[in-house]
Amino acid sequence: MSAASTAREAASASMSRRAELATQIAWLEASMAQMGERLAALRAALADIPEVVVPAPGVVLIEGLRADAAKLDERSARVVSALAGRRERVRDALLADAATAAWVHEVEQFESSVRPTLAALPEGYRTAILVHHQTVVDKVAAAVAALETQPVDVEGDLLTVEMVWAVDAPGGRPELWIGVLPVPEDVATAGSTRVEDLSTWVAARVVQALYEAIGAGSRPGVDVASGGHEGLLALEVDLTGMPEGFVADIEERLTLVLSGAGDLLGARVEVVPRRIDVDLLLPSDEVDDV
Amino acid sequence: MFDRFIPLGLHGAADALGVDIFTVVRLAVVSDRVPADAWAFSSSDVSMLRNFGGIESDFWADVALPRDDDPRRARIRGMLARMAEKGWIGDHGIRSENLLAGLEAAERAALVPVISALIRAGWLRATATPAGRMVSLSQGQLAVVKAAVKGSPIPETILSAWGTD
Repeated sequence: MSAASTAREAASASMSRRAELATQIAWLEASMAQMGERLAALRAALADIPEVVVPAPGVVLIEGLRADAAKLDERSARVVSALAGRRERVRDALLADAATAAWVHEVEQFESSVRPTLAALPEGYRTAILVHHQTVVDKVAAAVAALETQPVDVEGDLLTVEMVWAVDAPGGRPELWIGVLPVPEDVATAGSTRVEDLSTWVAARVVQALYEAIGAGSRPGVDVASGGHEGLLALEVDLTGMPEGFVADIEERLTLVLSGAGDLLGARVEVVPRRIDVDLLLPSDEVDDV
Repeated sequence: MFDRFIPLGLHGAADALGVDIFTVVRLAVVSDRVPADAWAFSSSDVSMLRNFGGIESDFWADVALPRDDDPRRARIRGMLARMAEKGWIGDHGIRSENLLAGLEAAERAALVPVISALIRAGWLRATATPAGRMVSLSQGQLAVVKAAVKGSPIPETILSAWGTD
């Protein structure tokens, strides 16, 4: 074979190979373009689907209690307003009553004219006047109390909220009762800087039930401890040494007190205690449920 | 004038007694005076709760703190001296909150862990009662306490508890 012939064959083979590769490249480029379009479409579809994260049960629980706290707060505004309105009506009604108005007038006279002179009087006169004054004060106070100690009634649908409770029992032995209420934690700590409202009353009724159960138990000196849990009021009772059945006593007391409290009935609020697993309230590596 | 006749609510009763609202509830429960309809307390109710709970506000009245270059130690020695003077020893206890009545908020908060440290050290005896915690000087440590009142050293475990809560 001549050198020229060999060169022609090599050129032909090269051309053939280049054509083959060019075809493959073109095919791949077309495929990549299609895949790019497909990829963009998939990305767009993915972006259109909102991400749904299933919250932990404990988070759901707290969110539920916070929602209930907000509802209580809303109802509370109506209760506080109704309370103020009733106070005005009580004042007007008492002053419209001739006997009560006379007593109130007498007390006013005493404070403005008599009290400043008391020190100068002989002890016998002073004592007699003070005894009479106290009698008049007691009459007015009794008339006011007869109206003011009634629960305030508000109109509206029955509002049902939950409180949750659990028992921490490492090794199967109950050690701690824990309750979380649908009220802000500052109910316990803010004192009179916070307006007394429905949340205050709910917390007080739960504490009442706990102390009633404690009082009926074998360790009547046990304290109800209070604190915060995720911004909500948490209550705790040390169960160490408590008799068997004490937890059931607490449950029974809670139901009894919360269903019979006049202030909650008047506000048309139902507080339902619900037992939950303790690890919904506390890290599971620290606690054991019964 | 009318307002003075209005029964106190939980906050009003708590302020009048110098306790928190849950202590008011506790005293109402143990004295069987829980209002079923509304949290309302007359002045006589409040007096009754005060008596039932042994609540007094004059613990520090007329107390001259001992001379001491450490104000924490002066307060602790003053408290122990007052308890000894009033005979709050052994079975005769005083409501623990009474030890704080009349103090500034910061000093109240600082003294609370000291009282716990004194109980842990055995100088004070704590008794849980339905109306709340009572404390007294431990009979067995009376000599040690009286020596501390007169100026003997107070253990660092007690002093360092000041303000730790």
